[in-house]
Amino acid sequence: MLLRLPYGVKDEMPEDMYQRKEIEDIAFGIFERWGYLPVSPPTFEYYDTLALGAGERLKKQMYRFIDRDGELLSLRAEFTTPIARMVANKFGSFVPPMRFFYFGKVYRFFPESIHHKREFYQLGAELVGVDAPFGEIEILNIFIALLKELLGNEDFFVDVSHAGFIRGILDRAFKDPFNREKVKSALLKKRFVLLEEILDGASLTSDEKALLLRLPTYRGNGDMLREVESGDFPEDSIRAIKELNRLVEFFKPLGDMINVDLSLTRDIDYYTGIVFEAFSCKKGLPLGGGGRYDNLIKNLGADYPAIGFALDLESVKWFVRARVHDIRKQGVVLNLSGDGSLDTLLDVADRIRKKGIVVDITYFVSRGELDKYVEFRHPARTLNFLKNVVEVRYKDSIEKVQEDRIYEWIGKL
Amino acid sequence: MDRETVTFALPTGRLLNESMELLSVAGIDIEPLRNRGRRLVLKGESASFVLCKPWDVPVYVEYGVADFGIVGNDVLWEVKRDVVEIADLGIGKCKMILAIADGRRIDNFWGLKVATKYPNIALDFFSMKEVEVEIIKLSGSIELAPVVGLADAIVDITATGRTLRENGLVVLEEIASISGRLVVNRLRYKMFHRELSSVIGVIERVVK
Repeated sequence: MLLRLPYGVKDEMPEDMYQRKEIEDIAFGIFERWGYLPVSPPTFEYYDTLALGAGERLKKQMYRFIDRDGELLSLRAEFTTPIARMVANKFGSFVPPMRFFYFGKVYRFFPESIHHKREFYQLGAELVGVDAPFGEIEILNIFIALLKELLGNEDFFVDVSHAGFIRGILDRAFKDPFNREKVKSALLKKRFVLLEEILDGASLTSDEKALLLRLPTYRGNGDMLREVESGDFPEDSIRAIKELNRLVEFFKPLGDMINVDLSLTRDIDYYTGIVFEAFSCKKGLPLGGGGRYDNLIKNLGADYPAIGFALDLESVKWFVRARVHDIRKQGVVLNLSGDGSLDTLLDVADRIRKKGIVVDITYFVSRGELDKYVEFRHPARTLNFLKNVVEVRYKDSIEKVQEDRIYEWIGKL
Repeated sequence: MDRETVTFALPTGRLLNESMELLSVAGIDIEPLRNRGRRLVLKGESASFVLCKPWDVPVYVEYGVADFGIVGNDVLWEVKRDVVEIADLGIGKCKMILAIADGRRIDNFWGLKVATKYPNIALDFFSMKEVEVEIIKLSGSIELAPVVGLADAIVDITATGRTLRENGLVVLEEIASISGRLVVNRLRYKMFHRELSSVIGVIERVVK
């Protein structure tokens, strides 16, 4: 009988877990060396809290359920809001800047698309209490350092934009929040024909209209930004462009790795400043991203500027080889046949493990069964404990070692 | 770009001939499409083509096996795939309508039984009106449903209205105008917009 799983979730097999561990180890090391501290908020908490940080779109994607006492709860759909809550409530005695990192699963539900993944593993960092541009520079630097380490090469690029640019245009042109949402939604869904219909008759400058309708083509470098800067845009938008330009200028030595893409619209509403997203060149896959969210922690009770990012583990997994898995291949299988000594075997197992070698124990009486297991398990060595003698198999050779000489043999391992 | 030519996903069915004509006027070599026989993947001088069901065009484009696609906005609305909708091509024009049997009186939409090939569009339409209806998903010959008493109304596309008339149906409301759209893969457009712009430019000039 095959017991089914609900769509959008999956079992993680040993290979997946080794890969995850590898990624976590690399990330843990980097975060720690950059002065970041690990935190882990709960898997679920009050919906009202989590919804404070979420836009309309994310709210619809959140799992909500009623607690046994009638309270409305929600599974976390991202980490930034719960960590912002921790910062506002728990770290009053900390002196900023505060640096946190996290690993864990988030849960989202996509009403419009059945079969969509619903459980995601994210790792990320939040830098609290550092204003622009220093926060941006640090977060982008650590983001790039992490990607370089994980992807093993420079096979990725990072697109940056500024949430204030489009916001500035829309705030000036659309006083009615309903219309503003309509435009934002068309931009996010990249429905430019619909956008043209909505923009028809709106009080936009010709520069604004031309830019919005061709937004995805506004990808490039500082030259593109300087062109936009001279256009007819609201003051807030120009300020955003100038900030973006200074940041891109700073990262110029990285060359093509950093690009401006004004169409980058992260689908979370709390961003107030620079936003960014990384893509793998070869696979064209999005890897993760983040941005500045200066009002989120304030909404939760303490006033700090903050910036952070999250990486989707599943998309970086392609690039990470599970090195940890090799340790198992160099492992040793100890078999206790019917008349071998359990005491000796357990003692030997301990001594080998102390050398940092993987040991697993089997209890096959029949040689056939042991062979079958060894063929499946592929250890480097197999020690079969018989009466007073241990049969040592290494590759194709078999060596018989007297039980009292086995410690000597271990010494050579 | 990795590949030297761009790839179009084209829908088999009513949009195909008009799409071919439009691409040909835009100067894209469509000879392989004319002599396709039964082949579904065709390579031309300036572009390659993949022929698939209209419903699958956005899928091919989202996953990047095609750079461009031509598909009606009825399909785009219904399947909600992550593609960039770039231009209205003005081909295959028709209307998305709500129709009922001629002579039937409907006071309000509450609890209406609606047959359609487009359950998502029907849901969006009725939730905009803030009424709950029962939606019956069919795969074709939607006009049949009110006639045989399977449903009270239908949500479907109509070009001339002839099939509706011949089956004794009348349009109660026009939901949207439908036409062929040019869609492009999100990341390709982002990374190679300069290269793709020339193709988009020639097509847009033909349309306008």
